[in-house]
Amino acid sequence: MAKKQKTDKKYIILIILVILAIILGIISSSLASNRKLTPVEALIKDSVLYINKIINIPLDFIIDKIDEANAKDDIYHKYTLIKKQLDNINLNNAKMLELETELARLEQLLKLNSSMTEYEVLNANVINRNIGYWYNNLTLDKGSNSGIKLDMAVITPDGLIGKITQVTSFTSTVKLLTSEDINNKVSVKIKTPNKDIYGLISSYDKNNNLLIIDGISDDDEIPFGSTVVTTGLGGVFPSGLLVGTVSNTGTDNFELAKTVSVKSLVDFNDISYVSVLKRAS
Amino acid sequence: MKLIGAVIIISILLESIASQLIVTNTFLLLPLFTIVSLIIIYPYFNNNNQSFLLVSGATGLLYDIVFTNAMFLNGLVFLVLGFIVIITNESLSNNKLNVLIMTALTIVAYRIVTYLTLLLVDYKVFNFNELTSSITSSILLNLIYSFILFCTANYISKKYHILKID
Repeated sequence: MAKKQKTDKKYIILIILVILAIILGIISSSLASNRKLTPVEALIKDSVLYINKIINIPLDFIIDKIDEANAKDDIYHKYTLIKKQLDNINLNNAKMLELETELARLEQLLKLNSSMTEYEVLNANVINRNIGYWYNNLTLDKGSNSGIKLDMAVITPDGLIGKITQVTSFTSTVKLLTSEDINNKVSVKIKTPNKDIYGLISSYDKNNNLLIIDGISDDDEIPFGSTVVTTGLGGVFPSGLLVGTVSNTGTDNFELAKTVSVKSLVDFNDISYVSVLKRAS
Repeated sequence: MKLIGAVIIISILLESIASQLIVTNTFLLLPLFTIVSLIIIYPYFNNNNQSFLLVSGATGLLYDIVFTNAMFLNGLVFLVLGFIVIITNESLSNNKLNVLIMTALTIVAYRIVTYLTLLLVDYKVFNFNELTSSITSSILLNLIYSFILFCTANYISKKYHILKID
């Protein structure tokens, strides 16, 4: 009897371990891939975030009023600045049209298929931020009903912030560049006076708020302050999206290649409004 | 049961709102209200531990859907936290000071268990400083929330004569 109980106990422990291993496998795959939400999950997420959006309306109103009151102090300075900019706008518009035509011609010539001009911009509000500390996700108030699809690039006026990894009918999730997920590598080029240097954003230095680029030859000279933009390679991000500026260089663990630290102009801890780049149909 | 449901749903909604209002790198102010709600609701299960664990797991799954987009991660972690809440409640009586102690313990456990799970599935590389800063940045705000929630739930349970263990 005692022997049977002992064997039963062994089986129970074995079953628990197997279940745990399966759950860990599911967790691992769900964290690594852009898993499609089940209809039930999507419905629950939409419902909770819709209620959240309603609750946020009065809060947003109060915050906007506070911001408005703060901005009033600075209004005359802004007015004079805008007036100056307005004087140049016709000239700039003409220049832009000329450049767009030139760009279209060059794109056709080089057979590029992933530049900014092919994208429409869709603005969205951040309605939920993952505060789990380790995941670096944002939830937006626009989903597949607004035309958002997986892997679309997400930007702010200060530069690229990440890509869409999950979409429901009314919401979508953005995985930030600051995510330590190894599947989140972004192909970038560093614009130096002599040439463009290509590399991959491979990690994020949380302590110093810097994006780390590796895979760069040790011979390449990279001046501080050089602009870093996306290459368009890989087909996820269009080319030419601002990522940041070079703030530091070093060597990798084996002292074979150069690592470059990039300071993003985006404050990843304080993002309220974003733009999703939709590929123009 | 209505009180339990209300506490969990209000905590999830407040956590979501707080996450937008509070800048994420603000030290000491990271909200984990849903976890705090588990500690507050436990006495209202009147030693029905099985139901409490079921609710904990379900809350974890809901938390995954709303916040993390990971499947089963918090479902599993919340179950572990459920066990921790049961064990701490066996040794500590239910008063304001003990609720604060239990909140601190549960938050430390949450951070450690989640971090270990993320290490196990190869999502993270071990960094002790990161773990400690995630713990310290989550304590203060959640202690305040647990105190307010405990007092509010106590007041409501007394007013409407809802049974709970002490």
